[in-house]
Amino acid sequence: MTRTVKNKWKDFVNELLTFKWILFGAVIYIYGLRAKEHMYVASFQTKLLLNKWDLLHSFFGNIYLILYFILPVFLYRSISIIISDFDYTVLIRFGSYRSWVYATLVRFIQSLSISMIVWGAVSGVLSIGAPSFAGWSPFSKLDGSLSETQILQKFIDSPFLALLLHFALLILSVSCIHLILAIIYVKWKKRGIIVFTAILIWVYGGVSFKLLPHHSLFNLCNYLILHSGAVQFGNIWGSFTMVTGLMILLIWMVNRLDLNMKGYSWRYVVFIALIVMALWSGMREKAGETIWDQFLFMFIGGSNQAFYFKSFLCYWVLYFGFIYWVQLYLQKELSEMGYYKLLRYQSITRWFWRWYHKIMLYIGLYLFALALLALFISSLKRFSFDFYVSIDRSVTLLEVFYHFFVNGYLQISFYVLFVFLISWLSKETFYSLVGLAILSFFMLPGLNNWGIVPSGLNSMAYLFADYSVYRISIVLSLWNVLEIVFLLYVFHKQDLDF
Amino acid sequence: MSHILLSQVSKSFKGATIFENVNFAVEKGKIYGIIGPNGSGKSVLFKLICGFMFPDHGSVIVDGEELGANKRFPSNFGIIIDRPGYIAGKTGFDNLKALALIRNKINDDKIKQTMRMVGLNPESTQKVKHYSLGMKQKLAIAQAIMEDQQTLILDEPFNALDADSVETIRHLLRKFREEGRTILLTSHNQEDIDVLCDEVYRINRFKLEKVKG
Repeated sequence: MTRTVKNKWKDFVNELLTFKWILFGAVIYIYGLRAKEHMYVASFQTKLLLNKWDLLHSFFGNIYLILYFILPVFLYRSISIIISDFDYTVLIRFGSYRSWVYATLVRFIQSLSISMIVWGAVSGVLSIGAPSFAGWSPFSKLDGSLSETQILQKFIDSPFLALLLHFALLILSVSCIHLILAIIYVKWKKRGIIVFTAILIWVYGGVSFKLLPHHSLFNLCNYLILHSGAVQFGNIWGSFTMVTGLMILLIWMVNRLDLNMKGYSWRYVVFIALIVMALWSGMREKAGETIWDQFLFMFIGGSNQAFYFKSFLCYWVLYFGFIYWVQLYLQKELSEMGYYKLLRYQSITRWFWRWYHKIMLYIGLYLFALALLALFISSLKRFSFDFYVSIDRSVTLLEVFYHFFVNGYLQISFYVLFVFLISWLSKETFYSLVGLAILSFFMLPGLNNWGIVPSGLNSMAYLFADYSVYRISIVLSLWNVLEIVFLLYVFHKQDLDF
Repeated sequence: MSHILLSQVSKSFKGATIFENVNFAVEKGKIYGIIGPNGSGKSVLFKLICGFMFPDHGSVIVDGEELGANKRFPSNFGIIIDRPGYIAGKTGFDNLKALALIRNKINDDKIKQTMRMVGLNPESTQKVKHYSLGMKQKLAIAQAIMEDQQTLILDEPFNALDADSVETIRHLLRKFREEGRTILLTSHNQEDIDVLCDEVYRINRFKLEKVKG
């Protein structure tokens, strides 16, 4: 037993002294020097003395440092632990995926503790020379938001407790992220998917910090950094409640990983739940009087003149979520594809039309179901059923329906062909997801001023922009035709290799 | 009661059927051989038995418990399925030690003893990345048996082994049978199957067909 402890301690020290952690410490040191300088300048300008707590909170709670350096490092560690530990000989010893997931979590937390030690040591060195610890400093008691401590001292009496709580929140949140990645890996067993998810989480952190208001529930910073969460919720417990709730949900999911749920796909349930959440969060109760107003808000998306991050996310869920299913279906079709099958169809083009014919039907059904669900949800909030759009009387219901169904149909059809094309050319369906992610960037303001890039053109926001919905139909139709022509060309020119 | 029982098991992959309504019962204390051409589903069968995959239809029951109902992977199984993912920068002993620490049932001496049993030197400082294929295979066998696992699921255990090592491992497997352990193995070498197995099954047309025993 003593020997095991000794070995573990030796491993821990060896790990601590590896190059990666030394590099980690060096980056924090360089960044810390700048933060320290900034703090001293602020203290000088306000003529209020700071102390070691101000510096420590600044080093440990810096949004930029956490978002752009610490978070990617943690995501990388999480992924490398998950991938390296996933082996049949390891799994059989754990006896269940559940035990394996928790074991990887323990390893992840061990890795976190090493990073915390390095982070703490560097911060300790950087705070040398500052006035000693003595509760909140006069600088932190200034009623402002110049530093982390000025925010935190409004909510917590002790700076030490504030630091502990900050660590607790950070560890809890990144543990949730680790669990999400581990669950995804157990379910799909594909590296590409967890790497993509990790990148998505990181990008989302940056985008939500830059584009969402600080008091937004969807701002990731509020769950990684205590003072940020305290501003959002008006107390220090809001962030903890949200993260703990997520942790409980994840534990529930981990506990179900080992069950054989024949004929039941939780992915459908998750997708439907996401759709309902996206539609529900799209409603604006204080604006508009009729269910048609809410219908517009739910599918508002974004145009070059109006962009809301939340609406952009909802668009992702509603439309790219559907494309994800099409992509899965396509993956299945392509994997079943073979010479024997093509011989029966007699041509690749015929096979494609047979496949696409079904997809066209699904697109129509999906749009119809979405419309019904949106109207149902807004009716629950008791909006009027009168047949007009109150927020802009110049927009007719005919235009709303036309834009939603016709342009929606053409836009989704474009996405489907786009996904097909990339999958066909690259033989790797994962690239099509990356392609869609890149395409969706053109929904950001200023990137599609002429409305000719086929990305998000079915957003309801275009009804209030300077574009005619019929012009959008022409643009999308042309893109669809172009894609089909290109596909037919590829079918004829490319050798078939399965 | 059968030790392992596959009842009406069907499994298909991306539209291609691998098994269709397979019934298979394994009794304790015997060596079973599974044969079949490449891609016939031998590894899939082992993954189903170990709970790494669920059947589309039917059930896999180990010691009276259905996999996926309360437990996922059966206990006390030693396995070689696919190539184990070793830590390339560590020695063979360190790799086995890392695996043994998961259950923490055996000490260093037991690991060393097992390494010697399969023909590896536990004191060697050679890292796994410098191991030959045969040495890696011996390491795979060592991890499957070092904790006295009572059921061994061995997919191609004789791959890359030289003639002497093959004889050593055959001897070891016979000894395990005498001790009452259960072994399921596949091999492309008919001789391994003939000299070791009490019962032999061939995968044919999505079914398991008994050819010996």
